[in-house]
Parts: sequence; structure tokens; C-alpha cells
Amino acid sequence: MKGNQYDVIIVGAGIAGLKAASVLAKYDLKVAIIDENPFLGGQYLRTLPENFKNKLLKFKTSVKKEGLKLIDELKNSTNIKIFRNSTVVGVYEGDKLLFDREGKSELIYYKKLIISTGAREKYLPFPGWDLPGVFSLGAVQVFLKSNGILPAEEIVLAGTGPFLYAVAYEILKAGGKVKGIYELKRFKEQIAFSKGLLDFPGKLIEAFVYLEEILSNHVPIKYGWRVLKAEGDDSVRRISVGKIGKDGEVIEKSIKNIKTELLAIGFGFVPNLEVARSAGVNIIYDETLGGWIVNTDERLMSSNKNIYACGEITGVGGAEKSQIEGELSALALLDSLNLLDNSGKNKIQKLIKKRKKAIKYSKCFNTVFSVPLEFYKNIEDDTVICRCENISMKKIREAIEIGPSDMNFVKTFTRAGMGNCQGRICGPIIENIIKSFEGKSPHPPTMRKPIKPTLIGNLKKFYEEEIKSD
Amino acid sequence: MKNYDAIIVGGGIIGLATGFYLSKFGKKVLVIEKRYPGAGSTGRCIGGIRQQFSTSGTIQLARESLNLFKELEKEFGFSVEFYQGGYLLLAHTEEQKSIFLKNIEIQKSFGINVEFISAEDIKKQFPYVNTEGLLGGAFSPEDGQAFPFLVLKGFIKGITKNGGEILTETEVSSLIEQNGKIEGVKLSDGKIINSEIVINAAGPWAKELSETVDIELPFAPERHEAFITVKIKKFEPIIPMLVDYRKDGCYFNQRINGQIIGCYTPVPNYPGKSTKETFEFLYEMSRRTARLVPTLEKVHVLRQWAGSYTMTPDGNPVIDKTEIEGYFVAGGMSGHGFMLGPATGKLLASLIAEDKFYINMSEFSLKRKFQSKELLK
Ligand SMILES: Cc1cc2nc3c(=O)[nH]c(=O)nc-3n(C[C@H](O)[C@H](O)[C@H](O)COP(=O)(O)OP(=O)(O)OC[C@H]3O[C@@H](n4cnc5c(N)ncnc54)[C@H](O)[C@@H]3O)c2cc1C
Ligand SMILES: Cc1cc2nc3c(=O)[nH]c(=O)nc-3n(C[C@H](O)[C@H](O)[C@H](O)COP(=O)(O)OP(=O)(O)OC[C@H]3O[C@@H](n4cnc5c(N)ncnc54)[C@H](O)[C@@H]3O)c2cc1C
Repeated sequence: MKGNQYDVIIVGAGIAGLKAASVLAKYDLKVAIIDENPFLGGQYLRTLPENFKNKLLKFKTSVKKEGLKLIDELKNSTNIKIFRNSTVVGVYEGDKLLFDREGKSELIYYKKLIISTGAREKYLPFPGWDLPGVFSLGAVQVFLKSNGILPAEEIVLAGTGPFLYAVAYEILKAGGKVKGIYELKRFKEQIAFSKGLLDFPGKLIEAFVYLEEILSNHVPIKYGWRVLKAEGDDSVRRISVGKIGKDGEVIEKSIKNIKTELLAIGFGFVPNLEVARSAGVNIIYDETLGGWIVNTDERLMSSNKNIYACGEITGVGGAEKSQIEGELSALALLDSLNLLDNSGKNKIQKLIKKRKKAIKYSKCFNTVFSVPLEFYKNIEDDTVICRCENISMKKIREAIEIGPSDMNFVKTFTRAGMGNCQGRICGPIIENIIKSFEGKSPHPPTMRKPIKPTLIGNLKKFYEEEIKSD
Repeated sequence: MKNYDAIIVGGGIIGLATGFYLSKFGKKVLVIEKRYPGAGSTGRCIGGIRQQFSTSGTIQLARESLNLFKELEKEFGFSVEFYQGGYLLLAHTEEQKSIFLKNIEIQKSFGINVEFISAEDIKKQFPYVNTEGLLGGAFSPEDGQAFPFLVLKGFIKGITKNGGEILTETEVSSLIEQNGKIEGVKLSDGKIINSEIVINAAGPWAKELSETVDIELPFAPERHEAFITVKIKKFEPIIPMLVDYRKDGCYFNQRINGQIIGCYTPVPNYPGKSTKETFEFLYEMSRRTARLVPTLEKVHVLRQWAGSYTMTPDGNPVIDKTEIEGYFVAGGMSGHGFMLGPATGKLLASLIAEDKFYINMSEFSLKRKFQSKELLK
């Protein structure tokens, strides 16, 4: 086998990809794992700088502990080639995978591909959401964990879902102050979720640890409240929040202004489908699993028999689900190569069952913490939707009135999503806006390569390489 | 049941321009589009506009179209990002140079502002161009660019304003003919919509659609790929459409928002309606682009895609009526459908509404012999 050819390539070294790699490492296969981050572990395990380690990692979930162990094992494994700082920019016909690493483009070949590219955050726009000083929850986490500093002394958190508490916990542990947490959903609505937690004791413990920290610091938590706007000349200075009434409208007299220099928002996650779509595998829409997801069989094989998908991209569900699926996809792949003995085959059956439970929980979770569609429908006309091209709600609405419920049409008619981020942020927002008007989920936009912009000067060298290999 | 004066199949530049100019004649039009406006070739084109063609018919059509592009902003009430940055056709061989010189003579006889400029002058005027091996080029400062989606948007809004309708996500499965006259169209859900005039502007799919009434169209789609870069600072002057006619040539320009956009004609060609993008195009286009303007090496490709050129044997379109009364065709637009779109639409509208073309369109008749060849692809 040539140097740039692999039996299996795994894209994404989050919990799912790591787990898959650890299973494959025990076999006589040439495996590569690629991640765009400088560290292994993905969103959940984001490794910490030295000065923070002690404070933040005092509390580790079992998934975290195992993940950290896997990272150590992997670093010492000789079967597995690790590519860090490596962004996959396209999967092309001929089982080719193009990636950029440290300013250079490289091409590698696979026989089987496992895609585990995780999820990213979702947004609900409001006036001022594009101001400096409005962060996503994830961005606050990156600040804390990767840069090792607090982005501001006092932070207000708003949005929906338990990620609010995880980030509040981390801010508090790092010595910061949380001025308030505003959760969209009413307390009552969350009961279904807490019942689901009983199946996952690990998650329940995690929730308690977070809540204890939050409550003992007397952080006010408001349920059924939302951010209405953020204001300030060059950066956020104050925000308005209000209580949502029974009719879904904000109760006028509840509205209050809060002074803050940092607002962190989080409205859930959407799968990162770029790599999977660039490989041409089928996707399906399931609102309860985060929207568009990779369509797989119960063994996580995609519509292409050489490509498996695992983790958030088959349904947003959190760390445990990713862990189960990482293992399942690797075993199923091994089985397809006739490399499994009976105990391996039995393990597959067990994991399929475990996965069903995890999916059930995910569906409940995503339903409880979903943002009501009216909130998208009622976005004000001048609110910016696409930040790269500066496209307002008014323009989006006009496109929806004229054309079909096709994301491609809205994109071409308004230019939203054509900028440098290629719709990564505004895409899911526009999808929800269209849905809120038309009552059905729109056609997803066509996926275009490269997944991230890539240098002309680097690409031209493949002319010689490809000619030689012919 | 509503009555339509004309039904247009296809929401690309041709269908929408025709619909727009027909609606200006007071006709009630219905445009039927199987996906969304721009879903076919038009949404995949790179927006180049030129008058540098090689025959009297194409030159006049292109000239009429350029004049219409100039008026679109006023017509629509918003800019379509029309900009005259020029086309510079490059000659790397004596043969190419003599073709250009011959064409320039014809073009000038129609009053087009075009000159052959030497390699040294190219270096002076466009210092970023690599003139190695270059003998010179044909340059017209009147040629340029517009943003296809804004042009479509203007036509769409115009059609609705003038009382026309656009049906999207609706596919025509066949045309309906009775005793030599067109009667309407049948949709894939079985529904029938009647009209005495039907225009086939279905782009790469026009040939199959026409077969449903046994009218043969000499159309053959081919795949063409393109790429666009991130926005960069505008070159001084902005990069005109550089057309490299070498076997491994390419063409690209800088859009007025700063992006570089371009494509190449694959050799050999790639027949069929596939719109799958390739790795080969990505690196080849990169190599060819950087060879012409070396500083572009430092620019990032934002996205790549593929679309169709609907070819005819002589490289020129068909804009004509057919043997079936009331059935019209505008297609086979090759790589010029966008630039020729406004004029094609307006001329076809005048043929339908007034029973005559206002310029000589014999080069685009369906019954022509398809022998000559447009030299400037
Ligand atoms: C900001 C954020 C914070 C989260 N915090 C929590 C939390 O506190 N608790 C919790 O249970 N869940 C959290 N989640 C959910 C989280 O996605 C899952 O818990 C779990 O980490 C998912 O594992 P995964 O392996 O599927 O994906 P990830 O952990 O997301 O891993 C995917 C990996 O793929 C890589 N990747 C993606 N695209 C490319 C590409 N083109 N080229 C190369 N590499 C690529 C990424 O760099 C990443 O490392 C969070 C999610 C996000 C987005
Ligand atoms: C990469 C590339 C670059 C190009 N660059 C340029 C350029 O710089 N300048 C230029 O002038 N030209 C350029 N072109 C060519 C130009 O794009 C085409 O000539 C032009 O868009 C053709 O327009 P059209 O309306 O005939 O076809 P299309 O735009 O394809 O429109 C036809 C429409 O009909 C619809 N349709 C088809 N069948 C049916 C049916 N049965 N029922 C309902 N609807 C149907 C389709 O969905 C489609 O939207 C380029 C093309 C490509 C691919």
C-alpha cells in the first residue's frame, strides 16, 4: 500500500471518531484519523491549558474519563496515523480525500471512510445579535478552555438547553460571574427531559453537579424568558429580556434591561454535514434529531457501502450517543471485512440496542429544547440574518413570498449564505424561517466543495502528482 | 381556469427574459419551472458578457443584448452589478492571432469598439498578466459582466408586476399538440394548462421536451465546471475576462465585489447532463489561473460547481418558431446564453407579439444547415 493510502480514514476526532479509532487499532489495518483542531477529543473533551486544568477538570463524567484514556492510548498506537490541524476540504470520486494542513494541501485515499464530524451551534437572531460582545456558548467555552481566560467579568447566558448550565458551571469554576440564565422553555416543559435522564445516570449526575454550583453561587435562573435585543455602539452594553406569555408573545410589562458587556447565547446544535455531503451520501430530515442528518442503517452504514457515519451527524444526542456509535460503526465496518468473531458480532447487537435507547433520549431532548417556529417567523424586518453578506430578514421574507421553499432559491435570490462562511451560521436559521412560513422543511442547499476555502497555489501541484500516478 | 396568452417552460435566463418582454407587450404569461428560477444552467454561469463574436448575426444579437443590459438597472430599479471591465482574448499562436484580426475587422464594421493589442501593451495595461509566450490579444472595453441572480430577480419581479405568473417546483411532462397547433402543456401530476402559445426554454432538457411533439432539436448538453474565490482587493484595473485559447486554457475575470470567477472548456468534451464537480477541475483550473495571473496563487477557492452548456452543431443558438403553430423554441445557448439572454427574450417576444424579428435572425433559424462554426467559444 502506498504511503497515502489507508484501509480506513476517520474524519473527526471527537468522542465518536476516537472510539471508532480505538476499536480499529486492535486490528491489522492501516488507519488514519483527521481533525481540524490541534487537539484530539472534539467538542466534549477540548483539552485544557495547564493553568486551568486543576480547576475545571475536578469533575469528570465517565465518558470524559474514558475519552481522555482513549486519547492517551491513541497517541501511543503505531497502527493509527493522526493528522491534527487538518481540515478536510473535500471527498472526491475515486475515494480521494483532500485536506489542508498547516498551509499545505494533501491528498489521501481510503478504502473505507468513517465520518464523525460532530455538530455546531444553532442561532435565533434578534436585533443586535451580530454585535461584538454577543458570543455563542461554545465560543465562551473555547475562550475559557483554549485561551485560558475569561472573556468578561460578568456574563449573561440565554437560549435553551442544558448546555447553558454546563457553560455557567465552567465560568463559575474559572472565577467568573454569571449575571443570569434565561432559558426559553418553561420549567413544566422540561419535565419530559428529566424523566429521560433516568436512563442515563451519568448525565443525571452531570446535571446535579452543574446545578449545585449554579445555585450555590446564587445565579438567578429564569424559565420561559428570552432575549429581545442587544444594544451598544461598538459592542454590547445592555440587553433586554422578557417573559414569554401563554400565547407565545413576550409580556410587555415583564421586559427589563440588563447592563452587560457579554451575552452568551445557545439554541442547540445542528450536525456538521459538509464532509458527508461532499462524499455524496444521502441525508434525511428529522426535526427531533437536529434537522438534516446522515441516513444510515442500524449499523451506521450510509447510502454508500464504504462510508459509515457516527456521532452527532446521525442525530444530535450528546456524548454518550457518540461513544456508542463510534464503537458500533467501527465494529460494523470490521464485520463488513469479515474480521469479527462471534463475540464481536454479539457486541454489535448489544450496541444496536443501546443506540436505540440513546436515540429515544435524543429525540425527547431535542423536542423539549426546540425553539418554537413562531420565534423565527416573527424576526423583525431589519434584523440581520446572513452576517457575511449583510442580508436582513426583510430580504429573506421577500424571497420566500416569491419563490419555492427551496434553500437554493432563497440563497440565490438574496445572496444569504454565499459569503465566506458559506451559510454555516445562517443556513439553519433560514431553514427554520422557511419552515415557519411554509409549514414544511425546505430542500437543503446544494453542498459545494471546497468545504473550507483552499489555496490556488497549493492545488496546482496536484497536476503533476495526478499525471505521475496515471 | 385561467387564460394565459403564453406558457413558457423553463425559468432560466431565456425563459424569464422572454416572459418579461412578452409581459411588456401586454401578454399574460405563465412561466413553469421544475425546480426554482436559476436551477439550470443560468444559476451556474459565470456572468460574462461580450460582443466579440465572429458572424454578423451573433455580433448584432450580442450588441442588442449589451444595450439591454445597460438599461436593466433603470428598468428594475436596482443594480444587476453590470460592469464593463472588458474581455481580453489572448493569442498564443499566429493562427489564433490571425483569427482575431479577421474577426476584429467584421466586428468593427458593426461599430464595435475592439482592438488587437500587443503583448507589450497588455503588460502595460494589465501588469498582472503573465505575457510569456503571448503574441497579443483582442480587447474590447465594452464587454463585461453582470450578476446572473440579480438579472433573474429583476425579470421575476417584472413578470409578476406585469400580471404574469411563475409556477415553481412544477414540471412539464409533455407538450400538447392538435392538428398542427400547440394547445398547451401537461404537468407531471397530470394537470393540463392550455395556451395557444408555448415556448420551450428548457435549456439542457429542451430536446427531450420537444420530442413529446416530435420536433427534433439539434441540442446536446455538455458538462462545464467553474470555480469562484473569496473576495479579494480589486485589481487595478479590475481583471477583464481573460480568455486563454490554448488547449489547456481557461477564462476568468474579477467580479466587482472582488471575487475571481472562471472556468475552462474541457478537452475532450464531456457530453451529458451530469453536474458533478471533479477534483481534476479544481487543481487544473488552479494551475491554469495561476499561470495567467501568478499573484492569484495566494487566493483561496471558495467553491466549485458544474453545469451544462447546451451545444448545437455550429455553436449558435436556435431562436425560432417551429412547424407546429404556436410552438416556439429558444435554446442551444452554448456558453453564451446569459449574455445573449435579454436580446433573445426580447426578439422572441417581438416575433410572438408582432410576428417579426426586428433584426436579422436567419443565423438562428431551426432550419439552417448548422455548417459554419462560431469561432469564439
Ligand atoms: C460548542 C459545543 C459544546 C458542546 N458541549 C457539550 C457538553 O458540554 N456536553 C455534552 O454532552 N455535549 C456537548 N456538546 C455536544 C457534542 O457535540 C457531543 O457531546 C459530542 O462531543 C459529540 O461527539 P462527536 O464525536 O459526534 O463530535 P465532536 O466532538 O463535535 O467532534 C467532531 C470533530 O470533527 C472535527 N471536524 C469537523 N469537520 C471537520 C473537517 N472538515 N475536517 C477535519 N475535522 C473536522 C472537529 O474538529 C471535531 O473535533 C457540545 C457541542 C458543541 C458544538
Ligand atoms: C460553468 C458555466 C459558465 C458559463 N458562463 C457563461 C458566461 O460567462 N456568459 C454566458 O453568457 N453564458 C455562460 N454560460 C452559459 C449559460 O449559463 C447558458 O447558456 C444559459 O444559462 C442558458 O439559459 P437557459 O435559460 O437556456 O437554460 P437554463 O438556465 O438551464 O434554464 C432552463 C430551465 O428549465 C427548467 N426545466 C427544464 N425542463 C423543464 C420541464 N420539463 N418543466 C419545467 N421546467 C423545466 C430547468 O429547471 C431550468 O431552470 C455558462 C454555463 C456554465 C455551465
